[in-house]
Amino acid sequence: MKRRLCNYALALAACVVAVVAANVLFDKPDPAAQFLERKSHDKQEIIGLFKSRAQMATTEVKLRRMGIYDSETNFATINPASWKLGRRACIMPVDITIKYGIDMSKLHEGDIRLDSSTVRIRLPKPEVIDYDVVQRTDRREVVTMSGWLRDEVGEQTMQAIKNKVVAQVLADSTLFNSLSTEVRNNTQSLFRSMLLQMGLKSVFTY
Amino acid sequence: MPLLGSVVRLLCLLALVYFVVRWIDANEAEELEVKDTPVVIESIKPIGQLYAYSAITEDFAIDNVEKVGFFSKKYYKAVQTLRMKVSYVLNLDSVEYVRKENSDTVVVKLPELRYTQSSQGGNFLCEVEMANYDAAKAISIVEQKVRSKYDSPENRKKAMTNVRNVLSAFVNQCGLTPVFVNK
Repeated sequence: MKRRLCNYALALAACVVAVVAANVLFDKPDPAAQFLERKSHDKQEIIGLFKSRAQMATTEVKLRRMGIYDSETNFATINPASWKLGRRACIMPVDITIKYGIDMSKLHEGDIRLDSSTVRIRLPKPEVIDYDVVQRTDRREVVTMSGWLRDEVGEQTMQAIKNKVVAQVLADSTLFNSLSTEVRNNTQSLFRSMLLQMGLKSVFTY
Repeated sequence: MPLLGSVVRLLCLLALVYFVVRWIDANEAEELEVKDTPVVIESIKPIGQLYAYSAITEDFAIDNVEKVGFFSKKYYKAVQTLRMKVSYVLNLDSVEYVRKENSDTVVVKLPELRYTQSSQGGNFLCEVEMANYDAAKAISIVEQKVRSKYDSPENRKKAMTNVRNVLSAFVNQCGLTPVFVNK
């Protein structure tokens, strides 16, 4: 009798230990606190320093891409990180404005030549000059779903989805190539109009 | 006594389930993957803007957010970060070039520079996911902070000096001499 009671007491103690251990061991880190802590020490990256530029934006493209995240597609038996109890999904539009153009600092000596009243310009390759992501989320356009014991889809996940989509769009060479002719034409038009006002004609090469 | 045994066994089982659930839930290393979807181009328009003076910066705003649980409300600290490109931009369509007759001198009439800032990404950091929290207010605070920090008369002056240098180099390469005046 005494021994049985002793066993029960031990089992109950094991339960308490398991619950406490689960809380201590698997306590989620607080990313906000971690960020503020890092911010007070991290001086490695130098940002906020103004630099003189000569970037000419000649084409503005507004685009939209759907950000679709579905946790279920990630399930992998060998990866415990994907063993989630339930599905989590979010579909949201991501609006980006990209400005393409040329970097005039890449115009070297000899790239601009004057032949009587005609200026011959060898233009550098078009590139992304600036981009602007609509950071505020219009919740009416977002569809979210989260299953049993999964975190809800909130601002944290939505902004992470946006960052991923933006990185994908900027790395999309097909998109860039399809726009490069337009960007070149607009760059030429801009230079042509500037030079015309100066009483000069223009010829462009690449 | 058999009842006590059953209760203890049930508690042991619940503790085990709780342990496993917490362990699985703590595995937040789950990589957030976004599916490949087509890009929809909504508009393309020609512009003429000279980015003369730019910086990439990052700033943040702190907010206390409230989450209502089963038994109580809990407050969490949340941080909204934004990475921004701040620039002084010259609208090239508004620049006038007037060439003096029988001369290599061009009078370049420059408009005011425009301060712009573009959001290049951000993160919302909080211990828990907030489904009902709208970060719009925190984003506005960060944008305002960045603007007040970088949009200054000194920076504007330096930007204008660089605009003149860039345009001067270009006009000189075209065989002309620029004279700058404010519009």
